[in-house]
Amino acid sequence: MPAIPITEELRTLWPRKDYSRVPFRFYHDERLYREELERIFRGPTWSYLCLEAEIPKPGDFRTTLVGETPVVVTRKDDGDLAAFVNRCAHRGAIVRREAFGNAREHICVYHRWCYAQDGSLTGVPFRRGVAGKGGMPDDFDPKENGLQKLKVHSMRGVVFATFAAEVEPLADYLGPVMTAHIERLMHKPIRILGYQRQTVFGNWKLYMENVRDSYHGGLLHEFQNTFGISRVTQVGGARMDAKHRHHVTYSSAAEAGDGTQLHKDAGVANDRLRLADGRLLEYVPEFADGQQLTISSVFPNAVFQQIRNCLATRQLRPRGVDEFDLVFTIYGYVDDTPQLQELRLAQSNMIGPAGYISMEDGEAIEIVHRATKGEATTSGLLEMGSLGEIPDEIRFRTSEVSIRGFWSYYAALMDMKPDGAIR
Amino acid sequence: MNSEDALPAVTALLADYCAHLDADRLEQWVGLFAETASYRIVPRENRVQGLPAAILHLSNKRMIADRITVLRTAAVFNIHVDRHMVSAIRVIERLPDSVRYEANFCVYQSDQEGRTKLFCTGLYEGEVALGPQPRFLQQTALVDTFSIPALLAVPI
Ligand code: FES
Ligand SMILES: [Fe+2]
Repeated sequence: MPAIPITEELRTLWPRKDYSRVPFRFYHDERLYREELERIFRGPTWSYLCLEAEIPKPGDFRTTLVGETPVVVTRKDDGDLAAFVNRCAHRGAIVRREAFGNAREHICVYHRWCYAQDGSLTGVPFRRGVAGKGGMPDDFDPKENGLQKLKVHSMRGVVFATFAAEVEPLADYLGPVMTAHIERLMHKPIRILGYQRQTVFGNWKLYMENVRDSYHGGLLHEFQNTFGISRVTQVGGARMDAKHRHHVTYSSAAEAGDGTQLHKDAGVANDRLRLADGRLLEYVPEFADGQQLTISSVFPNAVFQQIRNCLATRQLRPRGVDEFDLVFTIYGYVDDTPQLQELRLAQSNMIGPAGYISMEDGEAIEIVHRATKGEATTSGLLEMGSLGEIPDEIRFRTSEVSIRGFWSYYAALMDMKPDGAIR
Repeated sequence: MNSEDALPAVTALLADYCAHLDADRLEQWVGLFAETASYRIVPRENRVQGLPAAILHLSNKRMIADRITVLRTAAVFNIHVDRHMVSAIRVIERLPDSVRYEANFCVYQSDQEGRTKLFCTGLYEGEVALGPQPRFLQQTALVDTFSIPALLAVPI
């Protein structure tokens, strides 16, 4: 009897049809996680690899991960981008062991098979043997034995790749909302300022939920609330594409009500904290739309953030069902003054593993993950904002609707929608 | 004072630094910095690539004090105890009123259930003003463990 696929089994666990309940088991099931690597990260999605500014010169490469698959992304001598699986076609060794570098070819250390910049096999030592003895069979075809190539495409210098042979073009995948958002962030040439990384002990989906959760911002993060960086009471909202796979959350400094009093009523302090040096709270306007905070996510592995003048991408790398890495790439623009660059560096104190408005997220994810382990039948609750059909646009911040959007697309891609799903 | 004479002063200052952090005397830890002092936590990968961003980038004593104010009043982080280990302390340059030093460090974190994990390891690089009360003029923790486990709240 063929085993029932795990997705078929778990599909029956959704307590509701509109994704307003999420079974805790979805964060912990090892078999489901294996399916996610196949159906999502190796499936018909575009994963974020890097910024073109990280590989500006011909031969520049960086090693990265798509799901758990090691990948090299590089700029070829002709200037085009290429990406291939970083696993030797011979016996499976990692070919490029360095995190970054510049190379005209890639040679596996184990038996010295040599690959071109696009991953094609160009050399096999002793292919003809020695003195007529040994060697590879005559019909061995190097063309059939290159490194597995990914389709790679850049949107305004943001590099995405996919394993799927059949997949919509990147621009269609991103859709007009996300495309406009990336164009906004990348409206002029950028300069890489550095990296922050974090290993979080929780399931990767808890992070994609967290970035879409505009409800928690000013509640968990008192710093955000106190300094009006992000409050649930602010004028703001979220936009999603028609399939709800990506999202953009935004807020402006304006309050939708008396933010200080509303928070006080909710039992949240936002007037306790005073800074001796508040320069990091300054904002130098640089976007025409006046939005001081935008957080967006591209399914399945990217986040783009503008927190005042602190600009960064975040790449999510799952590492098993219980752990993921986040890589923050902090950037500014090539024409930044030294003062503006210093402001960006000072504001980067707000983000990442030690950030004033983000360190709590590592803790929140970990305590959810820890407390939900082993739960077979219980679920989390997502009712803030609305129930039922998921709108593409939400014009307020007390909302969990974008998280339901995430699950609706997840379920479609994983083939595990509840019967009669509402999306 | 020559470089060798400065070593005990640097060593004693570092001992106070670790003791204050590990005992949650964070305000006293701030007191070990000079007014103009900077404190940075730098990922090794940024140093190697010549990139300026840091995990913490506090460019004066007020910003260092603010870090502690935020932790005391407005931050949520893992409940834990830190334990610093410092070794191979050495003075690498004698300046008119100060010395530049380096030392290896690692920090272990223990939770409320008494379980301990290595939190990070790296190199301290700093400058210490000498005198009756030695103080940090600069302190950088260059971290090898730059994929920070979970989060970094308390300075290292
Ligand atoms: S495993 Fe790479 S050459 Fe043999
Ligand atoms: Fe958060």
